[in-house]
Parts: sequence; structure tokens; C-alpha cells
Amino acid sequence: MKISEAYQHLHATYIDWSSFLTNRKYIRDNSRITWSERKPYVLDNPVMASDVAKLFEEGQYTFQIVEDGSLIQIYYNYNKSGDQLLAARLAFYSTQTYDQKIIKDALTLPEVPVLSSDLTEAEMLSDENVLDRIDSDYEGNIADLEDKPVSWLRIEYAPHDAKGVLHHDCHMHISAFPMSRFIVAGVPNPKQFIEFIAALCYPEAYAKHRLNEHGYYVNEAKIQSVNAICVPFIESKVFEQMPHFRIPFASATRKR
Amino acid sequence: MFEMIITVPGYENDVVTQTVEKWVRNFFKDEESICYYKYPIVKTNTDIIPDLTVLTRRNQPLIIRCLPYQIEEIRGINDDIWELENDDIIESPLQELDDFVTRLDSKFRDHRKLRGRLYPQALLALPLISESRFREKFGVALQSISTLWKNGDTSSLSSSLAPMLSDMEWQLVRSIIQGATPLNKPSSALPIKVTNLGTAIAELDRQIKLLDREQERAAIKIADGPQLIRGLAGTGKTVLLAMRAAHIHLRYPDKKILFTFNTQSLYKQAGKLISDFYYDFSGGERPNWNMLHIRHAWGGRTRSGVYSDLCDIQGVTPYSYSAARERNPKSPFQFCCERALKLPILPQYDFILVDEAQDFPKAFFRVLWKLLFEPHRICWAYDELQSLSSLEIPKPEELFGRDKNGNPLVSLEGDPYPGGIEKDFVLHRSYRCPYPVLMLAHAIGLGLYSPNGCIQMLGNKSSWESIGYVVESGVFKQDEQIVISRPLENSPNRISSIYDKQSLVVAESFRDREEELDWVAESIHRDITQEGVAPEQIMVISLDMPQSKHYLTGVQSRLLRHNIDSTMPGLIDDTANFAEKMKVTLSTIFRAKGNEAYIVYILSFDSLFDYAEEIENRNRTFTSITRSKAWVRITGTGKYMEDAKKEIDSILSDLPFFKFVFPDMSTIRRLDAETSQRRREVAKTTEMASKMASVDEKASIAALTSLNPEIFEKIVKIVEEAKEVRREN
Repeated sequence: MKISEAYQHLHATYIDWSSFLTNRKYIRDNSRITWSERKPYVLDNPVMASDVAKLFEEGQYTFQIVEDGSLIQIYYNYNKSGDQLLAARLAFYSTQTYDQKIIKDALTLPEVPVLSSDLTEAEMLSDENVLDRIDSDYEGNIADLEDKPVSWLRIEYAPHDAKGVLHHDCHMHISAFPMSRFIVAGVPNPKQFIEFIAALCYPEAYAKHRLNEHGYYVNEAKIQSVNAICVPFIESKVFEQMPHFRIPFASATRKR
Repeated sequence: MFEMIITVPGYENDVVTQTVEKWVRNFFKDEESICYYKYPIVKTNTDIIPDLTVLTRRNQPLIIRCLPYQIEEIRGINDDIWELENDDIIESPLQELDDFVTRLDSKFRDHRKLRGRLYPQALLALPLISESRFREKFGVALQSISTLWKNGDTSSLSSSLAPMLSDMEWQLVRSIIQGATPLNKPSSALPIKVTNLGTAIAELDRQIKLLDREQERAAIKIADGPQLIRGLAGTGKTVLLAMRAAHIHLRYPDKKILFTFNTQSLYKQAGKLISDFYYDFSGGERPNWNMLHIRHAWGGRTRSGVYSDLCDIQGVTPYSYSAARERNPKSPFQFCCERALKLPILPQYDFILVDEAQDFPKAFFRVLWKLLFEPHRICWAYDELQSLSSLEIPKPEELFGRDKNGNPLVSLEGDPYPGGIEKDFVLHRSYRCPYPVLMLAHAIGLGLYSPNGCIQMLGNKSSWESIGYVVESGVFKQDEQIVISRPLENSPNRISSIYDKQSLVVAESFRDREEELDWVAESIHRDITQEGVAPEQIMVISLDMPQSKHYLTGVQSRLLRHNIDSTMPGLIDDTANFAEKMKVTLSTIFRAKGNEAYIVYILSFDSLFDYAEEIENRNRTFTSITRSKAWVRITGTGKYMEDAKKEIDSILSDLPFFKFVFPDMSTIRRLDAETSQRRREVAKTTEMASKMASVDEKASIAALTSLNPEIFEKIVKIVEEAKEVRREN
């Protein structure tokens, strides 16, 4: 994947996911795919809701997710001719705190009737109506003071910093295991990363956009096009030694 | 006409300045002139504020310092200081005036059109001292400065300006003195040929921003107590409160000021306005944010708010939105404030300014009351029609509560504050919207042409007049036909006279949402590519709240196909800017509050007929329409949109009038826009009339016949009209 292809990917994925992504900030700055006025820092763990709000205020993101305002950062650094990827950092920062997520999930599960035995059907419905109304008021007017840890994940491609099995050149950090580096085989292109985040963190939105009622792709050609142009895959012995995440790839592999 | 504007308390006891003011008034009585007391504030070495500043069209601006000394009280004068007999030493008033005039002169000279035209003149007034006594004691007269002496010789006031200031120059001078110039947009002097929407917007932007009489009073008159500013959308409430905050901070740099509001996006807007106004007044300084707090009422994760600050001081953890909502689902913030009120609240602020007061629960006002030092200088701006959720319009005594004896803590009734500073202001003029757009918003907001009849109503003639209308005919009685019009001067936006090739209001109905969104995207594409409108001058609002993100992303993707970028502010509890350069703004109604655009698209307008929340829906519609500074394009689908379109068409076909049947007020929400001044005038007149009726009839006749014929005729006319109204009632 050349830098021009990466940039086209970003634009294409924004159009493809325009019901899911918004407020794009990506730019091409010489040999980098980045966002305007990027500050190259990584948030300390735990990442708090206020940290994400601050990232947003400072415009430190590539896309925002319409559903909840969560942020996606996509950064690629290429060599001068733009045909070789030198480094990458792809991150997702959710705005949802753990307990909000748990409550939300619980509310969406019909088999969890919280104290329903104490409520009449009419009361339950009326409660729901109140919540709907308040939510819409909330959206515009009231900020939440609650500052709690949020979910996040980050894929880093930094071959110069790699140190063997425990620090592979491409690895993923996730909020639940912030000190761990999960080995990643390959570097996701922009489309793949968005696909990954949507499927992993917003399964309903993903299913609606991509899948049929049985949970399979409506249009397989579409997902093939997502994986059509890839960062060349670099074989490594560690892939035979350690469980790892694998990025789908379609282009030729190359040996180290 | 000579107009006196008293900006702070104290004039009523300032006998010396009153004497000088009478001389000045007499001198300029036949001229269009404005005289300010203790205004403007311009940062100088000693922070002098002139006692009187006089602007006229035929005379150079006069800056007058009035000194209250008898000759015996002054021991000595020299270049830098004056020594007084009580051992006080004061800065030389001549030098102070010179400092002030130099700074003011440079403000005028910043504007090309005033260079070489205006030279502010300093005047020292010593109305208790005669020139001869002064000369006798100090050997010299004050030759370097024009002086007003005890004999009241006002010839030194004359400093003619020829030719007199043109309308444009006069507007600019007043705008500079008001401190309104930061509102003006930079523009080239080259003429603009208006050929499309984009050039029409550029031409509209060139008009000098000048506060009208009501706005000026609301912005600069600082009372020693509570004040209410009422005004509908586009009357400039936020700007005026920001200007007031900057004035107060400049005048009282050691006093603590709080500016609070409800809509998150006002953080940046309010901060920028206050900072710009302060910068302009002070000649290049920024406010001290330690003394001037801009706070959201509740607070956010990244910024403190009034409530979260208070919890810090009280040593308790603030309730999060979700926790408060569990305890009071209908008004979580009311719950938070009630909890805070249970703990001691110590005063912290000398002044509090509240924007969007209609959106706050009562308990918040009680918190604010306790946060204020005496004399509780709170100023709150209220807009009944923008109250998106409240069904009640509480009176001040309900908002702030009562003291231990059951007396209201705040009452806006009774005499004005000393110096004639009003307790409440109503802003009649709506600057943002052109009149057809504003009238459409009012008619829909009240439901004047709704198939189901009105849902809220201004209940009397005076209230309609207070929001800038004229009652042409009809009596405010159930089932009576009423005709109301809006004078053009109360909606000064002249976009349709600048460009009339496109209707200001367009309403379109579509078969389905896809078709509707396609049309919106196409129309925006045309606005940008053919009409020369910048994307940031366009805002799209979805009236259907639950579906808003869905519809707005639908517009986003369609715009992308046209290669048009857009932005959706406010997906996090943030303070995102509206009108990002080169991007169309896609917004929910709540986010749109407090913001504006030249072209406003309102999607899913069919939700107007979602009867579940009729008043709220109509208020939201009102808010959406009044975001527009020029054109409104309304779209929707299905039968509801057909109904909405019929309603819109009926409204538009009656403009510039409203014609409606007065409803049964017992079944709808009553809106009251009468001012306390008006109520006071009515009460005073009633008292006078009763008095006249109670005295000997012959004495009354004698009194009336001795009146000036013009006044007599006026009274006869008023009595005749009153008889007519009584007959109809």
C-alpha cells in the first residue's frame, strides 16, 4: 500500500461508512497520513473519559463515530517516495465508560428484566419514555461530570523499536491489558482498521451495514475490496511460535 | 433630541455632575445628541472614567470631568498633581483627561472613515468655582483646557464639526463608544455587486453593528440589584450579556463575576465575545479569568461548572448526570441544586450574569442567589419561546424564593433603581432574522395558524407590543378576530432588499425521506457552487430528534458525493465550534441553540405534528427557524408535511400580518411580555385618573381647560379609545 493508496482508502472508507463516521480530520502531509496539527503523544493508562474529551477538543483524531462521539486516530509514516511504510499508529478511544457500557448492554438485553416484577407494564413503558426524552435533553445541554476509565485499543507498527517475541514490530495494546503487546501479523490498511473497530465495538452498526440476517456478508466483493490493497506482509518466525492477530491480506508477502 | 444615559448608580447623588449635565442638555437640546454618565471606560494610566461624554453630529465629542470642589478646598495645582486642603493629593484632572482623550482619539483613528474628522475635546467642569476666584488664588486660569465655571457659560462646549457627521459616520462613532465594533466583520471598501446569495451575504455583513437604544441600555446600565433582560431569538441577549460582563470587569477589576449558561457550545462563544469586547475597551488587554468566570451551569469532564465548583467548596462529590437522573428523571439538575442547597453556600461573586435562563430549574437560581454578595447583582436573560422543555414561566419570586418573613427575595415591581436604571428590559428588535422568517417562527411557535388552534399565546396588547408587534385591530377576548403586524424597524435585517431573487422561506414536501435528503443535498450543492455561499454559512437541523443522527448522516453522505464537507458538532460533551471553515454544519436542535447561519435547512419538519409534545415541538421549531440570518428551507415527508406546508403557506400569505381568532386562554399556555415599567405606568395612570375623579369636578374641568391644547386633545383621544375598548369588552 503506497501513501497515495492509503489516502484514497481513507476517503473511500469515509464515504462507505458515512452513516457511522463523521468529522473527518485526515490530511496527507508530505510522507505522512495524519490529521491537522497532530500531537504525537500516547495517552497514559487508564485513559479517562476526560482524556478522550480533551483529544476531541484539541482535534486530535481522524474520525469521530456518530453513535457516541468516540474517536479514531489513523497515522502512517512513509519513506520519502511514499512506497514503503516506516511506522503506523492506529487507535480507537471510546467515550463510553465501563459502567455506562455495562448498563447500556444490560438495557439492550431483553432477558434482563431488572426488578420487572415490581413494575406494571405501563410503568415500564412510561419510564422508558421519560428516559428517551431526558436523553435528548441531555445530548444538547448537559455535560457529564463522571470521569471514569474508558475502553481503547491501539495498533502500533514500529519496526525500529521491535525487540523479539514480547515486542513484535506490529502489536496491539488494549485497555483491559494495557501492559501487554498482542502480536499482530500485518498492518491494517485504513479500511481494515475501520472494519475492525466497527465489527468489534459496534456490532449492531456493523451488521446493519455489512451482514445479512444470518450474519454473513451481503456483498463479499465489498469485503474483498477492503482487503485488496494491503501493507505488504512481512513473514516472521514468531507467527509460528506465538498466538497472534492476523490482518487479512491480498498482496504478495515478503520475507525478512 | 438630547438623550441622557446613566450607566451606574450614583448619579442621583452627584449634584455637581447634574448641574453640568443641565448646562450641556440646554446647550445641545435641539441637536441629535447623546450624553453618557460615567461612560465609556477606556483603559488609561489612572483608569479615569469621564463623568460625562457627549456625542453630537455637529460637534466634536466632549469628554467632561466634573470636580466637586469649592475654591477653598484646593490648596495647590501643578502639572501632575492637585493638592487639596484635607491633605489629599489627586492626579491632575487635566492630565487624566488628556490621557483619556488621547486613547479615545486613537480608537476613532483606527477607523479610516473617521480619520481627520473627529478630535475628542477635554473639558474640565468646576461648577462651584468662578474663574476669577480661581485666577485670584492660583494666579493663572486653566488655559490648556476648556473649562466650565460657576457662571454656567457654556461657550466652551462649542467645538463645531463641519460638515456634520453623515449617517454612516454617526453610526460608526456610536458603535465605537458602545464598544460594539468587535461585532463588525472586516470588509473591503470596494463596492460589492450583488448577483447571488453569496454576494448578498457579503453585503449584509458590511453593515455597521450598532446597538439600538434598548440594547445599549441592557448592555451598559449596571444596577445595584437584580435585573431581567427578556428578548426573543436574535435580539442579541448573549452579545449584550457578554458586553455587560466586559464592562463590569473593566469598571470593577477587583470584583468577582460569573457568566453562566446552559448550552455547552456557548463556552467558546461567550469567552470570545467577552474577551473581544474587553480587548476593545481596554485597548489591547485580555480579561483576568481568575476574576471573570465563564462556567457552564453543571460542568463537564474537562471544565468546571457552577455546580461542580460549588461541590468542591462544599467538599462533596458532584452528582453525575446519570446518578442525578436516577433520582429525579424529569429534572436531574434541579435535584443537584436542591442537594447543594441543603449544605451551606457562601457568597463568592459580586456579579452574576445568566444566559438562557429559561432553561434552568428554579433551584439553580436559589443557588446563584446564595453565591452572590449583597446587593445580589444578578442579571438573567430569558426567552419564553425558547424554553424547550418547561411548560411554566416562573415569576422572579418563584425563581429566587422568599425570605424568612415570606417576602419575595426578588421583585421587579416598583420604582426603577437609582439613576432610573430599569429592573427589567425587553428587547423588541430581532436583528438576526428578516421579518418574514421571524414572523413565521412566531406563528408556528404559538400555533397561530395550526389546524388545532393556538397552544400558547401572548394574552394582551402590551405583551405583543413588547416583542415588537403592533395590534392593528381586535380585542384580546375569546373568539375575537385579531390582526397584528410587525413594523419593519423591529426587524432591521434587510437581506430581502439587498437580494430578492430567492424566497426567504421555502417549504417542500417529499414522498419519502430519501427523496427529501437528496433534495437537501442538491440544494446545498447549488447554494455553494452556483450561489457562491460558503459551506460554513449553511446549517442543517433535524427536527425529528430521535432520528436526527440518522438523517444528518444521510445528508453527510450525500454531500460527500458532491465533494462537500460537513461537520457534526457536539457528539461529546464538548464545546465544539459551529461554522467550521469550508464545512456545512449538521446539527440537532439542542446543539443549534445559540448559533446561527445564513441558510438554515430544517429536515423532517413533519415532526411538528407529533402531538405527544406539542408545545415542546413548536418551541423547537421556533428555535430552529430563528437560527436563520436570511433563508430557511423547510422539508419533510408525508401527510404531516403536507399539513405543515399548508400551515406555512397560510402564514406566509398573510404576512406582514397575523390574522387569528383569540383563543380560550384557560386552555393554553400564557406568555407574558409586559415589562415592570409598563405595569408601573399603568398603575401610575390609574392612580392619577382616580385622583382626578375624586376631586371637585369644577377643579378638574379648570385643570383640563388650562392644559396645552395638544395635550388636551391627546387626553380626549385616549378617553375615546378607552371607551371603545370598554364597549367591545
